[in-house]
Amino acid sequence: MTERRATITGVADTPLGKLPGHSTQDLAVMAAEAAVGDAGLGWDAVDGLLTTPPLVGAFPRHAAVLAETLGISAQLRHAGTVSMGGASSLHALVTATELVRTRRCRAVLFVAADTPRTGQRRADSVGAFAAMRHPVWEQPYGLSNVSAYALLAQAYLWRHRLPDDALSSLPVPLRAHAQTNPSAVYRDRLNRDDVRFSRMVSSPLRLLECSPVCDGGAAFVVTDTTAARADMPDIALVAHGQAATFDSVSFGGDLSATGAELSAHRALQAWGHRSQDADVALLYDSYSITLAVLLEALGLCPPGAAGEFAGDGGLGLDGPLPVNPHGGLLSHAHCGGAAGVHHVTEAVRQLRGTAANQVHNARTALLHAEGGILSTHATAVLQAA
Amino acid sequence: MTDTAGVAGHADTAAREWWELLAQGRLCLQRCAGCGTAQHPPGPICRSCHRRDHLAFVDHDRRAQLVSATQVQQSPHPAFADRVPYWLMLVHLGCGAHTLALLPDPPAGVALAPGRTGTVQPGQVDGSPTLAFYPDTAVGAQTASETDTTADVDHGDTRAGAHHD
Repeated sequence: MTERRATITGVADTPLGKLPGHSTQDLAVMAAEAAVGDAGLGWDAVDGLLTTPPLVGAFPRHAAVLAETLGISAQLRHAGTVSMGGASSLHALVTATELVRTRRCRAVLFVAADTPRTGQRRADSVGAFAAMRHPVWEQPYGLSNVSAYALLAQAYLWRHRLPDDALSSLPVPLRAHAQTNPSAVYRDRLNRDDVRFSRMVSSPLRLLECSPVCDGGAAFVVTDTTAARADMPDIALVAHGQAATFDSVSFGGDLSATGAELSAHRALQAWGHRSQDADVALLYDSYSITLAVLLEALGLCPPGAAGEFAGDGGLGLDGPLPVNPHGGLLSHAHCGGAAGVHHVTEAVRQLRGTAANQVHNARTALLHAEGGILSTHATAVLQAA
Repeated sequence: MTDTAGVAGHADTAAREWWELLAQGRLCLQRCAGCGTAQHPPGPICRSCHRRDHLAFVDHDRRAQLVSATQVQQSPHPAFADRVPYWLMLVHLGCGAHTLALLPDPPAGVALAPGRTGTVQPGQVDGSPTLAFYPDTAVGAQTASETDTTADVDHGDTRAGAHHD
């Protein structure tokens, strides 16, 4: 049987920020409706559903509950809950594409939403992140997510003999991007000193190097090209890679080798190009150190040079490869368990030519996401036809 | 093991045994006699050669080198919320094995730097066992301990090793 060609044909973001009165399920349904509508499909066309577990309002068998809420349970040929942390959206994009290519489904909907900002007490959301650390080898030491990233950051700074504030330049260009994106949650001016003198959370990471969580979500639809909108370019997944070298930092040795390089290598080898050949990059940026590690793993700057690279305009909209033109997790939105989905919807808008901060003539988008503590990695290349 | 955070359900047999040994004051590393790997955290099988029948715990000489460190300013963990700020370290136990450790008494005038040598000792937080790292302070001790660490820990010493399978 010949393979079908798959394309991302519908995308939608919900409102973002503090959304009291909206549950995670409300936002998921809102995103799903809008994405199916954007794809120009009716509900009867959707025969695949993927989702990711939220921090607030997760059900056992989350995808099955979302399907029954949407009233599409019986028509689904495939439903699944992808639980790879921040890499879930890219993992789901790969799975959705393969479901369509192999004719198991014609239209796969992916939905991610969460309400960590107002859906529960702030302490409970912070606690939910802390509960992700290994219960046997990390929680007895009080390790939280931010402290785990801080250990990675300090090891990185020491390895490259960099000063404590070497990563403080990374959030600044992302805020500049957010300032001209009306949907971004954080749009106040931000300079490097603001970052450098913000409150220490877990050394060497300061408050403004950590992405703040908010409520919101997004969804996308992958169909075969014959079912796609005629007025939009086909957007195909042309290469991808996945990798992990550890899940918990306790199993990560000296923290110098994450799965980032391996995932990037697998994807770039499949693509047959260098990362610099993309037109726009959407890179997971939960913390300053996250973005630094990914920039270097993708070969966009030399090892140890990410801070300098960002400070010199390497991420800018007018640079050779704009990074996170929507503002990223650090300034656009980090929606808890849904974090990362907006990197995908932004990539699609860039390739459609409809983004708020449109990169001129963007035809190819490079995406890299990670979940956990630089644990699960996925790299993808999207191309507009 | 002493249940540190309701974790018993997540601990495999090797993990339970390791924590029990620590609670008795013994710091052990799990060594695979089949391939020579020393692994920490320990596990049900050797993560290098994937065999299970050559694993044994051997006492560690407690020498370690600092790999990374963070001073935690706020903690969502109930046992640590009142302890902030506190230092959390990642240290190398030799042979590629690493562990988290607390730094109970940051020594004045001793810069925390990569490769700093010290001693890991069993400690306690709220009655539950943990590891604590004590950096060498005296200049002479630092030089001597660097020599010790270069010679590496003696993982071949099985005189007190506890087989776990």
